[in-house]
Amino acid sequence: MKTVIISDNRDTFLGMRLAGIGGYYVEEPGLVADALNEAAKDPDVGIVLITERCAGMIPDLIFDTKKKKLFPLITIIPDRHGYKAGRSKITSYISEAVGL
Amino acid sequence: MMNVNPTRMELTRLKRRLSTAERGHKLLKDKRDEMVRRFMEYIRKNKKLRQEIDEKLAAAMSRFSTAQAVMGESEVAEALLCPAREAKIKVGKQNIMNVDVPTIRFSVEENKADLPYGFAFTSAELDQSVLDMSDLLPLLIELAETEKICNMLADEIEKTRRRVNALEHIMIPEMQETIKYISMKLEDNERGNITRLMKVKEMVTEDAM
Repeated sequence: MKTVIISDNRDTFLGMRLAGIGGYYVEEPGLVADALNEAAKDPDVGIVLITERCAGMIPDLIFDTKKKKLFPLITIIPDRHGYKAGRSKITSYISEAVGL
Repeated sequence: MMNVNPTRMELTRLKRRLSTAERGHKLLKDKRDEMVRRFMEYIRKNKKLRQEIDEKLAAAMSRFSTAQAVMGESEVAEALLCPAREAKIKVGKQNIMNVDVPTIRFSVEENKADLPYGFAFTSAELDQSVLDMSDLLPLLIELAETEKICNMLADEIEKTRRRVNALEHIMIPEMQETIKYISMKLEDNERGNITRLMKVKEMVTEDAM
């Protein structure tokens, strides 16, 4: 299986290319969604890395894809300025599940 | 309270059901506690990984920017035109408290130090950032795995929690109440019978005298 990156940031995209991760370089929400759907459909894709900004454009689609399917795994990565929203999404998910 | 006939058979049946429910409740509670424990472990791991990636990625990116500045954007793009190597992963399965979670391993085959371009027109910064990124890759993959495990465990914990609560707050009290109702009804019948017997006995002795 392979890993792909969806990035709105040229540096991150090229950086991942350095590590041998191919992917999509997209900037508009519609194209981000298309890229994610395409990656989700491909059975050979194991992990989708997506930059935080991209993920912020289509939060619902990401959440749905995460919940519905076992693969691919979607991981949000920071761009070079680090995480912005912190871990809000996963933190809220945790508190919902554990009831803390 | 359940809608049942107050009979002895029903009582025995209910008592059996209650003991099963109580045992199930205890087991589910244990399962939930253990899952939460495991979950916390993964959450902690996730947090640590994230911080690590955050730092390392920032460092690698800034180095990459330097490389771009030194070499020029088009040269960098050209050097990286041929995708280095594919980041291959192996996917397995692991069972955590009856939840099938994926495990992902980075399959390292190639030599870490091989760079996908010639050295003539590229800078040392580019080499270093390529190596940085390769170092980062296993971390990213581990993060993906941990995150998925967290999500799946969270779902399962929620389900278990619902079951535990349903048993604890609805099923078990309901059954206990029904059992109480039936035994009271049965006792009442018993008392009625005894009174009736005593009355009959009285009448019979009165007749005989």
